[in-house]
Amino acid sequence: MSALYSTELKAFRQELRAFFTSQIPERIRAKISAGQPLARADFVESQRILNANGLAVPHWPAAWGGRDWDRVRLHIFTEELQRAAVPLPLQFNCNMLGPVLAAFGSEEQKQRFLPRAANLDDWWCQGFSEPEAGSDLASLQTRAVHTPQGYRVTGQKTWTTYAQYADWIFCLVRTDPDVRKQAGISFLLIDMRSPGITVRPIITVEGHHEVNEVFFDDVLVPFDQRVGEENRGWDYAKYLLTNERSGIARIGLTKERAARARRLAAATPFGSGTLLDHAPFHQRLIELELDLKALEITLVRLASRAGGGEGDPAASIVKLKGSQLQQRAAELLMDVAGPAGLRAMTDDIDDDAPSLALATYLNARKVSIYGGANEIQRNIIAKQVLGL
Amino acid sequence: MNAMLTQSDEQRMLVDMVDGLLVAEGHAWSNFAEQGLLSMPFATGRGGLDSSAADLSLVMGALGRADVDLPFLASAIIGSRLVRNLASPAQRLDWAPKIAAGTMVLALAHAEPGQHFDAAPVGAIAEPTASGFSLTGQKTMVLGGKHATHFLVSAAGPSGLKVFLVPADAAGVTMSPHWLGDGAELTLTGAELSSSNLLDGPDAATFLAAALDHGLAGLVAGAVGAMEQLHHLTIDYLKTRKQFGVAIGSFQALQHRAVDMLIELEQARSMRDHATAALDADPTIRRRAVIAAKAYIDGAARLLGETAVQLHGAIGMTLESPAGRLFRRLSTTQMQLCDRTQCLHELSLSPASLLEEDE
Repeated sequence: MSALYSTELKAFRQELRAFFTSQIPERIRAKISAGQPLARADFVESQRILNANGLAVPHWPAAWGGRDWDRVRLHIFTEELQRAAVPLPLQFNCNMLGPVLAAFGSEEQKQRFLPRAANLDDWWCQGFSEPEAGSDLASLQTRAVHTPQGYRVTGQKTWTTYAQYADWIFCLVRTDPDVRKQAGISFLLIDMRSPGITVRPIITVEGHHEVNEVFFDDVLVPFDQRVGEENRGWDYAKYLLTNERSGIARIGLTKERAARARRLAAATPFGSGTLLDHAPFHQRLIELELDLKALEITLVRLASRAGGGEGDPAASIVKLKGSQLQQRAAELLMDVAGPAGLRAMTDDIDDDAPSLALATYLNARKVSIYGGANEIQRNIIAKQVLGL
Repeated sequence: MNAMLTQSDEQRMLVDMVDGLLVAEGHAWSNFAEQGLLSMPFATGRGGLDSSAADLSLVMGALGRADVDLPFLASAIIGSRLVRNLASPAQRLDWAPKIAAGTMVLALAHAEPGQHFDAAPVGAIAEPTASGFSLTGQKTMVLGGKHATHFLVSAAGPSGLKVFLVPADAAGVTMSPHWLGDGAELTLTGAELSSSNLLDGPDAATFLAAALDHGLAGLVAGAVGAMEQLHHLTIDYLKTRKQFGVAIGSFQALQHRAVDMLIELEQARSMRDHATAALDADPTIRRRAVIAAKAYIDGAARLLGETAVQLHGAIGMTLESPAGRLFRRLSTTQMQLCDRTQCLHELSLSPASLLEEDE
């Protein structure tokens, strides 16, 4: 008997699991399991299969491909994607831009962008952070000035994930420098092929190219590519950031990593037995599993409550704990690999390649930093939930 | 959706009633009896309410929040459950009304020294006499032992493991109360019992294991209630205590610690619900759920308790501070029924992960 999910929900889970493991190519899922970077084409192929089966954007409004699932079903959906090592539908398209356009975009913008975002015909990236605007995002300085043809945008964005793949970027820009910093920001959609845009790669500590700097030099942006009202961009961004936070918990991914750590530890000789027999290691694994078990129930409990809208502090709670657990799972995997993690990385897909465990660990430090650093999440919870 | 995730109107009324009784005039135990709360676990056809595990969990939460020391867990949850499952109809007719009235207060005496909670006791012996049995043995960690009028003592008899009802004032019974908590050590030196004191139902070991698991889930629910109150008191203190001319809750270092308390509290609530919902499952799943919950809650209780004292400063160290008393209560709970070390050890005996069970 299960404590958490009804028979109906279990069947729902099994149906998804069967679909993901049979319909999404093993070649792509194996790369995810191994912590290897995906090619652009892998993301596109996988998302188009999902979209053709109504599984790319189930949380969108029904008119744009949504499924009217409740939040518990959406949680199971995301978790099963992660458990099956399926690339998540591109978060920038599906969790960030899509809901903002559906809520605040013009009819013309919805028609033009939403179906293409769902099918990954357009690859979107996020132009929020700047060198001088990290946690203090609202102090961003990229300027957009009016001209007869449209806005002229000049400035710099950074930490832009997959800008090297992107067709479009959604950007926060300053349209009024003379008011309170939150009140002078607008939300623009910018074609990455526009003259004046330059992308420079940033290589992170594990050696992968995920993030970039994006430079704007007098880039022309037509007025009809502004979302909502001018100078209301901060409101739309807050809405988007709440959605982003909810997506960072990645409980399914962490479960998959914990399961891998258990499996590998049981196969790793240590002392007179295996690493799993080594009590200090086993205890750390069990403690992670306990925390994950609790977080899964917490997520379902909080999702069952009313609310969930903009600035929902439950999203901060889940982001905070979820990111910590992701990092702990990565630490465990690194410790299972041990010194073998130092051997050179290869291009071979090997599910259990030790060197990828170290890369995963190094890369996982990002999750407590992006989407609003965990310290910012604590500020949000202290203010909104505890009233401090 | 699981029933634990939402509260019904009836459950909200139950919580309100219990909260009210715990601050009302008079003796809380009598008030509990008058309102029928002590008959909650008994079957409806036998004067009870046949209450769900979720309802009992809610009462335990209220007791924890109020930081009240009543033997509800020991007598109304663990003891009554054993009576329901192992007593004969005649024994039930005799005892259940007294338990419901609060005049018979039970405590299970099962664990024995040196076992560290994990083994079935074999040390205590029930030897047949002309009129019944003579019990000899040493019992430890008797939850609620301080309050008990009668102990339910497990012992090896001629036909295997059995449970006996032992009056606290019988000759040959020595109860030594613990320094902290309501527990006690129990020594039986040839305690003479009539044969009507034997609970002769079959499968005593099975029902003892179930009663202990229900006890663990109740203990966990009480601890979560205490944590809820401790967190509430701490936030309140942060908003009212002034230093350097401002409320100390305006300091970010303290805010962040208060947030970490909240997150552990939410996680603890989740594990409480996990344990409660598993009480009707098969014994293996039930056991894993309750020890997982106890392991989790003990860690959370430590973090919440220690942080609450730190954020209160010196006043949190005192017995005049409700926060200090709750800290002590939570520290006591950690050592009751099955401590974290033992729970983690038991979890480690299975090669399976906890994470597969809900799918």
